[in-house]
Amino acid sequence: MNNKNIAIIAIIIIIIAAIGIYAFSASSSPDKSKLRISTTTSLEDTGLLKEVEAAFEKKYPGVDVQVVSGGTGIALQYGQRGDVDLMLVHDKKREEEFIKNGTGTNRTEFAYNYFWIVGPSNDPAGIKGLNATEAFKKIAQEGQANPDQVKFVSRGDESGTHSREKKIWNDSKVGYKNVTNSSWYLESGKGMGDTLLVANEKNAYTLSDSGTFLSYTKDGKISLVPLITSGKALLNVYAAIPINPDKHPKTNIEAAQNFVDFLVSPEGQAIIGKYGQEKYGQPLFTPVPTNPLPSLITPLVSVSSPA
Amino acid sequence: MANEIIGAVEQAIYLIVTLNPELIEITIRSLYISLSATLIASLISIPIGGVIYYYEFHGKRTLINLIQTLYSVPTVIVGLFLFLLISQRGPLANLNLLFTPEGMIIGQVLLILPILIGFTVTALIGVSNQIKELAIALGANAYQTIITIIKEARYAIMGAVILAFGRAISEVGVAILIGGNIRGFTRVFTTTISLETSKGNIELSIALGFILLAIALIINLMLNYLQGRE
Amino acid sequence: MMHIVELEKIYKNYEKLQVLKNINMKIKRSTSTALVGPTGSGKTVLLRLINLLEKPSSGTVYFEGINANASSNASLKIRRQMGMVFQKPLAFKGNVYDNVAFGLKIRGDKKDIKARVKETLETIGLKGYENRNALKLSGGETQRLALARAMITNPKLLLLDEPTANLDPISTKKMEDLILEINSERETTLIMTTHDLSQGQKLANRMIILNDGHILQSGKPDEIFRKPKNKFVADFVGIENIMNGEAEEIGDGLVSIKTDSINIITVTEKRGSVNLSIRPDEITISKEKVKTSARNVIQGIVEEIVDTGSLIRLIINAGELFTVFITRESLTELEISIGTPVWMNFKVSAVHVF
Repeated sequence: MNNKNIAIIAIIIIIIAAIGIYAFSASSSPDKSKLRISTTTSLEDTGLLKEVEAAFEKKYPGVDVQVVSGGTGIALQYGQRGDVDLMLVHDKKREEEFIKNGTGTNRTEFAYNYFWIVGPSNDPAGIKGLNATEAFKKIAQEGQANPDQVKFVSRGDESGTHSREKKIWNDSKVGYKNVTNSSWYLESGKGMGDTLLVANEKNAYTLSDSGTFLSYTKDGKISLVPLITSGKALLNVYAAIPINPDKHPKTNIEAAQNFVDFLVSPEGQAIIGKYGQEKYGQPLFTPVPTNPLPSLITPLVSVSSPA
Repeated sequence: MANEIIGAVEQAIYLIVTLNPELIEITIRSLYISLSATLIASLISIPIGGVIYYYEFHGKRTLINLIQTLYSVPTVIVGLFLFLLISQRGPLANLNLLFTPEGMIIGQVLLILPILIGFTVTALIGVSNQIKELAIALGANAYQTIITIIKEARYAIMGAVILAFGRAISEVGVAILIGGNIRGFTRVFTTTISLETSKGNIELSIALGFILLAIALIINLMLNYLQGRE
Repeated sequence: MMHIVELEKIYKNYEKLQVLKNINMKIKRSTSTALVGPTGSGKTVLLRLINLLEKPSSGTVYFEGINANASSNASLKIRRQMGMVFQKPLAFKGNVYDNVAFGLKIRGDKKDIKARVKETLETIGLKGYENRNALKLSGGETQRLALARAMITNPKLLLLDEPTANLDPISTKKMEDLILEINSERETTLIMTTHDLSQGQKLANRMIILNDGHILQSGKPDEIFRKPKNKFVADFVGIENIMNGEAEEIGDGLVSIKTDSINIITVTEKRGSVNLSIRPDEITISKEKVKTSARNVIQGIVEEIVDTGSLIRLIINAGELFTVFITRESLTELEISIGTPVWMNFKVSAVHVF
């Protein structure tokens, strides 16, 4: 190896070091306290947190918000193990477990929206106007009678959306186990976007979150239409849970609680209420305190600031 | 399909030409993390590969087989393994490496070490035994002999380094689990692509994929240029 | 004077295969020794043992009186006083300069590398080759490069393993001239292996004949040619006219050796069943029976005439087959053709009994 090559390799190493230093100075300042928020990909996907984060950091310049997103399971693991300071999730059953076992200090609902049942515009099963459980029952009946006309595509990936779908099948008395063996019931085994594409291709019904659905229709990728967009069975509530410093002493409870307070403050709620209006022509979330949840939802847990 | 690809190419060009700040930031971060990981892993693997190659010891064949088996460890498993070590409940929690670029570098180093060590050994074995004896006969000691053989095998080792870099920059398991895909801090190409895909921004994802490929191409061309100089 | 290399009771086995058996030899400083033997005779292994690339299964290798395999550190130190050229022309990747400078660099001898490389390249006839790609040299050039690479460190002992086996005749000639030059001008001790007896004769002042892991004979080339110790050596060194018979005293200090069909007169201490050889160049040919001082006068019939280029080889049947060389002129002068009866004359001293 001659000297020229050594020189070139040295230059490459220097470039790596230089961009490393750049990346550092650009992304983290040591004097800022970090607030780590774990969330599921589906919430991160909507882009809402990006706006909330920017507003929060403006108000609290000493805090560097870092939103960690992974699959639902790992997002909960991060909280369970104390790797984050705050969790933003939408799985009430698991959230309550968190409070019960002392991992979280409290649970504050800050927004909600609905899962949508979407399908072909000619609505071959005739579900428009029904509620979610009735609609699933109807799809099952019509699918059994006309498997070529009426189909349903499931994500089949054990995601939050999938578990909600299972619950609706069970609540509608059709039974999830029964539908999985039916010829009209298809599983994509993929994310929401791919599942919507499959449903579009097959002229099938599916259960979707509103954000992904609106994004796909806006780009003209699918021609499915929303058929049922509200009701208890489709309600999707987002809650914030700070991680308990008694259990995980390193957590930044102060910043976490500030973030929760900010989410439910008029300023935070305004951001949530407007989010999506510009991009999709309609907001994706309904803020909680200004528009109280439908009566069937448990009342908002009051927030207590730490001493 | 064709329209979407054309759209993606257009979008990729648009993002590059307009020097989209987020794209530049992600590019620099991805390069910093994966190049650092490749460099560190190379500095560790090449000497280890040299030692495994040079000395005859009991269980050498088994060791090489084991290393080769580790080529196919899923990236998520490497990510999980490291996560369990550096998570707040893990034994190395005090290093505070979770959700940091440094943690990602370590994860990628772990990920590509087997490939680099294994391919280094293979590359060195590929050098004729006569060259090894020539070095020894000319008075080289063990260290000098290993260095000589590494120089003889430099193209093959360079190939291994390129391959390892490719695996590092294209992996998503470590990046998600250890990095956490934090915007502006640990978000890299692959995690952006998977995020944008799940958001439905397919064209943007493909555009990012093109840019990733283009960067890999540039780096390979640079390395090829280095090789070609000789 | 201390020997530079001494081998004592060396045995070498590869698993069950015994490749060297009880090798004892001493090499004097500034000499040139050729290890000669057919392929598989163990000569390369012997050279590798001397270069300490391999260790003997038993026995000791001494270098300047010191056990050379005492420790790997000691071996390295001793090996650095040697130079080695392998049979196969071989170069490291890179240019000629880096190849030649290799030995100096690894010895940490950084002084005047450039000048020394230049000088060495001039010596071996590769002047100005410094920046050439070493892998693109011809076989002959690569082998000379190998010689330069070994020579540049001024080794006390230079080992050459069949240095011309893979070369064309012109490259072989150049290489042989260089080896002679190194031995005479630099007083470097040389040990080389070769399967080519004439090369050994040309380049070495001592030859060691090996077969099947044994040393059969060692000595000056002339001695070996004239007085092979046994039939193998005789056959191997290419001695013609080998016969056996019964030796009987016939008075005047002379001995008659009676083969199956002829009698040959010579002088020897040996009696009974013996081997003998007659050097072809000491046999003269005549058409008529002539009076000479030669005690052996035998008639035979020309069976074969072979033109070897410089000389004509005749195969003459006199009951035993004889090989005789004559010049082209004699062939015409004597009007010899196949079937011609001729007389062969040779002295008592032309017969070597063993």
